[in-house]
Amino acid sequence: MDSQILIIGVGNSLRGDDGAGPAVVKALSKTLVDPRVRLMTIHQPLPELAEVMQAAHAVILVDAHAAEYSRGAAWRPMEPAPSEVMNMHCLTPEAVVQLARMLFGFTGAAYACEIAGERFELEESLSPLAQQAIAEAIHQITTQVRAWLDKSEPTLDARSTVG
Amino acid sequence: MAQTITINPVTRIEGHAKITLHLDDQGKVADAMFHITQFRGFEKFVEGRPLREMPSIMARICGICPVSHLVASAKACDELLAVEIPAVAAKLRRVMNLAQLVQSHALSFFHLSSPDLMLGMDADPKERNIFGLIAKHPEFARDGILLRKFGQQIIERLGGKRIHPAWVVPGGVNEPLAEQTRNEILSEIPGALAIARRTLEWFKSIAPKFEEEIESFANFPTMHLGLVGPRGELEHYDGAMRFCNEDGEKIVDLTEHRRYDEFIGEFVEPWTYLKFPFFKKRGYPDGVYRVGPLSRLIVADRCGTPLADHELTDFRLRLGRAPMSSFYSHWARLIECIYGCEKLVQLLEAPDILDEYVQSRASVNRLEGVGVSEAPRGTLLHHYRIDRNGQMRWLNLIIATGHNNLAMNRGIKQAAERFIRAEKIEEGALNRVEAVIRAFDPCLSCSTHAWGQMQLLMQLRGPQGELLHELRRD
Repeated sequence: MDSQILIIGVGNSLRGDDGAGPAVVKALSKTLVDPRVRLMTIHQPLPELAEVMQAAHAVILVDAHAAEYSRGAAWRPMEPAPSEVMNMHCLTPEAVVQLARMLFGFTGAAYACEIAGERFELEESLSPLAQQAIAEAIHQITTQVRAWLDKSEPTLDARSTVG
Repeated sequence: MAQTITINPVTRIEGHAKITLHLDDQGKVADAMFHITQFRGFEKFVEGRPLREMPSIMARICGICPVSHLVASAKACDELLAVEIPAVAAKLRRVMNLAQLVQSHALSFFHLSSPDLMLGMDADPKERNIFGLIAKHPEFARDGILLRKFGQQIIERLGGKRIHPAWVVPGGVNEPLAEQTRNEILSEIPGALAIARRTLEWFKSIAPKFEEEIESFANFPTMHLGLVGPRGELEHYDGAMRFCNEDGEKIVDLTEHRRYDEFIGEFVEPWTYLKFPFFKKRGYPDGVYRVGPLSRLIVADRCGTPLADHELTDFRLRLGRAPMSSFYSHWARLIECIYGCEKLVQLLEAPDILDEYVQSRASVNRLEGVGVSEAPRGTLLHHYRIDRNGQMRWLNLIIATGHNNLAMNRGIKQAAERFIRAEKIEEGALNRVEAVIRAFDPCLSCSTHAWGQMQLLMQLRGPQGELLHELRRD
């Protein structure tokens, strides 16, 4: 069966709290085991990711953000938008969603789960702030994804259930 | 009035650089310089590291072509161990190297250069990018993404990850190929090959429209360097380093790579971090030579696979034995994508490709080793010296972009002379100067990425430094 929900941890675990996204996905790989859920980690959003997204009903990009903008873990819907960046091995998540819609017929919902972090230097450990946000993100994602999965197939509609 | 124009940073290349154009009193281009503004220091900070760490460390030089550094480094380490690696390990290293060749060429051609080719050099810069391309030619853009994914996925399947895989090690590779992986890769090759073939046909149809660019994109005689196989065929992993003259005639086939410094010297200029390799017998700067896909097709007698050989014949019938314009690098890149797909089939269908003995083991047996391979953008050389404990004492890296440094500098001068007018800087002219650099596909150590806007600033300044005219791309 094709994956219906794609959860992507974005970040580099060698850059401190930037590894928060992959850390969330690693934890979910033990607790959120379901054939309809696909988990993956990437260093940064690349154009090829658009093709991977095409069959998903819902995509969640889990990424670290500087704590000066928000605390804990926060959801936001991602609207497709062209990238302002000319460098094609470094796209914004919104640009990847745009590529997926325009080129591969992706019609699902896309969300960003932003995890607050404060240390992004060369280290493998996570700050207490990020660890707390990671725990929040795991809880939020698990709750939300289970709610989606509990709906009968094939009417899983991610758009209507995320608040 | 003497003036200076600066393009900083140069966009749609791998890394960070700037271009300075000096105009004379008549407003004509007097000189052009391509500055590499990054400094990495790999040759210094690995001193003291054990040789077995070298491939993994060296792969960190670059996020686009880590496999090239992995392979060249492992080959240098093979020499230090004085081992003959298992035949299957050499084949598997070739598979990964070719996968990277295809993905990197796809990135260069589709993502970085095709907006110029498809939408025009003078198109609105806000649209002259991959999203503009998607809006007008979605099938073409999709092909680019899928071809790159094809190569990246092979690297991931073999090495466990797309960027900085650690699968290639001194003595061979650290895991044999699984049958299922082999079959999955084989099943995807026809799709990738079809993309490469139809893109090449399209490129051949539009190339004649770029007459001015062909005439002025580093279109001057130089020597060329590339690896060739034992029968003179196109080669990316091993073989002789072949230097050819401006007519494509062989000057030397260097099979003992450790003798490279008898032929290649390196010059340092104070205004850039990138060295200037040159052919010693001709001296600096007359010993200019080039490397990369176009050079490889010039130095090779043939490709060695049916479809690529057919395309090489067509290429030579149309353009001659040694076309010098770097605009034709795009053409060569697409022929190499076809070759890569065909060669992958040959390698993956070899009877021994699933053999499990993939690594020879030895301790230090030599104190000096040289490893050479072909990166997507040209010949890559790693030269190591170690002590008896196997710790690095000295190393020298000559990367593809370095080999091309002299030619790139002359190339931007040629294009600037043709397109830049002092009285007013047209954006399209600026783009053409950058496009010369893009044709070489330089890799300026792209493991340091910059989030945010890549700006382009071109300034015309008077002799006192006053700003006379400015063109900014935001």
